[in-house]
Amino acid sequence: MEIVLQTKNLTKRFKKLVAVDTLDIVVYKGDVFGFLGPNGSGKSTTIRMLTGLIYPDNGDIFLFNEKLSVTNKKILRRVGAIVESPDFYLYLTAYKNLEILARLYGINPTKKQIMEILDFVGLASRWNSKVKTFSHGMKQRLGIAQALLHNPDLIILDEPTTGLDPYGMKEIRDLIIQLSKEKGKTIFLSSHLLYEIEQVANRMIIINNGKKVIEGNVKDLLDHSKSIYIFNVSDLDGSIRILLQRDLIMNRDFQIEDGKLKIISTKMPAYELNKILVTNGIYVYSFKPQRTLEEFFLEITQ
Amino acid sequence: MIISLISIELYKIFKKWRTYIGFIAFGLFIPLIIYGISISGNFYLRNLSRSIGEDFLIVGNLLNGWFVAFIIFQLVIVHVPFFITLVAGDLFAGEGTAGTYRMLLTRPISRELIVISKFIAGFIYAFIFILFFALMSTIPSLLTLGSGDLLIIIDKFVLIPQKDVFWRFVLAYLFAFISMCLVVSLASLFSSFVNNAIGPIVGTMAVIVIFLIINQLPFEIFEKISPYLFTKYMTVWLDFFEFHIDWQKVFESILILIGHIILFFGITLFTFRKKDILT
Repeated sequence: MEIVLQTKNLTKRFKKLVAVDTLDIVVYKGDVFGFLGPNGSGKSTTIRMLTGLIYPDNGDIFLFNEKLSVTNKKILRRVGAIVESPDFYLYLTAYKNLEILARLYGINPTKKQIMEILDFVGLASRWNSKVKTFSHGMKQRLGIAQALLHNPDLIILDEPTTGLDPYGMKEIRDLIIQLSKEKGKTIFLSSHLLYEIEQVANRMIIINNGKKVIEGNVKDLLDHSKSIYIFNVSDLDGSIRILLQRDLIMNRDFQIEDGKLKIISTKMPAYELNKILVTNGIYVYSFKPQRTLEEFFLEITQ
Repeated sequence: MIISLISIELYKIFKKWRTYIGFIAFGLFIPLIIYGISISGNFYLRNLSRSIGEDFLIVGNLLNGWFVAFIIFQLVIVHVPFFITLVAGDLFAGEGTAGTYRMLLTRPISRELIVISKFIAGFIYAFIFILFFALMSTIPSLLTLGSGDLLIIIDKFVLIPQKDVFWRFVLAYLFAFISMCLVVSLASLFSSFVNNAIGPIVGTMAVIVIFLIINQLPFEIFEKISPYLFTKYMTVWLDFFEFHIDWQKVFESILILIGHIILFFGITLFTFRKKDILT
C-alpha cells in the first residue's frame, strides 16, 4: 500500500518538556487515520510539525515519500490542513479569504470553483460576508473549504469538531466520511474523543505524553476492549438487586450516575442484561454503550 | 509567486483601517498648515529675515509654495515614522494576533519568500505614504502661493534659485523614503518576534525617539555615540537644501541606511525561518 504520511523518531522539545517523543506514524493512501490523545498529549505539536509550522528537534517527516524540511515545503501542495481552530482575515469576506489562500498554493481559482467549494460546506449564501460576522461553526466549515480548495490528496484535521454543537459535529463527521468514501481522500484526523474516531476512522494511533500508546485497526482495537453501558431504568435499586442476586455484576462493577445505572464490567452482553431486567418487571427506557478515551487508556495500560 | 505574495500583502495592508490613519491625519493637517502660513506667512517671513534685511535687498515672492512645502517637510517628517510603524509593526505580529500564521505558513511557500514579500509590501506602503506626503505638501502650496526661489533660514541663510528647487525636493523625498524603509525594517524585525503589534509599534518609536534625542544632546559622551545611531543619517535630507550639497555625506548616509535595512532584514529572515509558530 502506498504510504502517504510517515514520521520516523519524530521528537520535539520545548526547553525541558518533551512534547513529542520518538513518534513513528504511518498513514496509507485512503486511510481515515485517527490520531487520538488526551489534551496536552502532543497531538497539536505533531500536527504543527506535519504542516511545517514548527520544526522537529529530531526525526523526519515524509509526505508522499518526500522529506518535509525548512528548505522543502513544496510537498505541502498536496496537503490541506486545519490546525486547531481555523482563523481567517476577519476583515475580508469568506470569498476573498479563500481566493487569497488558494493563491498561496499557486492556483488562481475561478469564481465558480470558489462558489462550488463554499456550496459544498454550506456557506454559499454567505460568500460575500466578512468572516468577523461568522459563528465558530461557520469558521470551522470555511476552514474545511480552504483545506479542500486546491484538491489535496491528504487532509489533516486537528480536532475539527471542537466547539461545535452536536448537529455541527455530525455535519463534520458526515463530511469526513463523504471526503473519504466519495472523493478518495486520505484523512488524518486528530481528536480527544474516542467515539468520534470510532465512527469515522479505519486506523488509529493513541499517544500520551508525546509517546505512542497503541496503534492499529480501529475495529480490532475496540472490539477487544471492554464496554461500559448506561442503563436508564424505572427502578434503580431493583435493577441492581436483580443483577447482584444473579451474580451478573459485583459491587465494584457498577455506579449510579445522573440517576442512571452505569455498568462498568459484566459477564454478559448488554442485550442479555436488558432481557433479564425486562423479564423481572423493570422498564428499560434506554441502554447505550459508553467508552471514553480515559477508560480505554486505563484498560489498555493496565 | 513573489508578485502574487506582494499583491496579497498589499491587499491586506490596504484593507485595514489603521493604514489610512496617516493619510487622513496628513490630509487634514497639511492643508491647515498651508492655510495658516498663507494668511500669516508674511509676518513670519519678516521675523525670520529681520537679521538679514539690513544687509540684503529681498525682492520677489519669497512666501511661495516651495517655502511652505519646506516648512511642512521640516515640521512633519519627524512624525512620519509613527504612521509607518503603525502599519509595519503589524506586518508579522498581525498574523500572530489573528492566528492566520497557521493558514499562511502551512502553504507550500518558503518562509524566506513570505519575509521578502512582507518587507517589500512595507516598502511600497512607505513609498505611497511619502508620495502622498510630498504631493500634499507641494501641490496645494504651489497652487495657493505660486512658485519662486526657496528661502531657507535655519542656522544660516540660503537662497535656492527656482530652477534648482524641484529636483532638490525630489531627492529629499527620495531620501526620506529610504529613511522610512529603515523604519519599516526595524518595525518588521520587532514584529516578527511577537504576536501583538503594540510592542513593535511602541518599541520602534521608542528606539527612534531615544536615538534622536541622543543625536541632539550637546554632551561629549552622546556626541561620541551619535555617529553609531542610524537616526543621525535619517535627517540628512536637509543637506539637499544646502547651497552646495555635500554629496559624499549624502551617499555615505544612504549606504549606512541601506546597510541597516539589510541588517534588520537579515536578522528577521534568520529568526523567522525556523521560528516555531505556536499561536
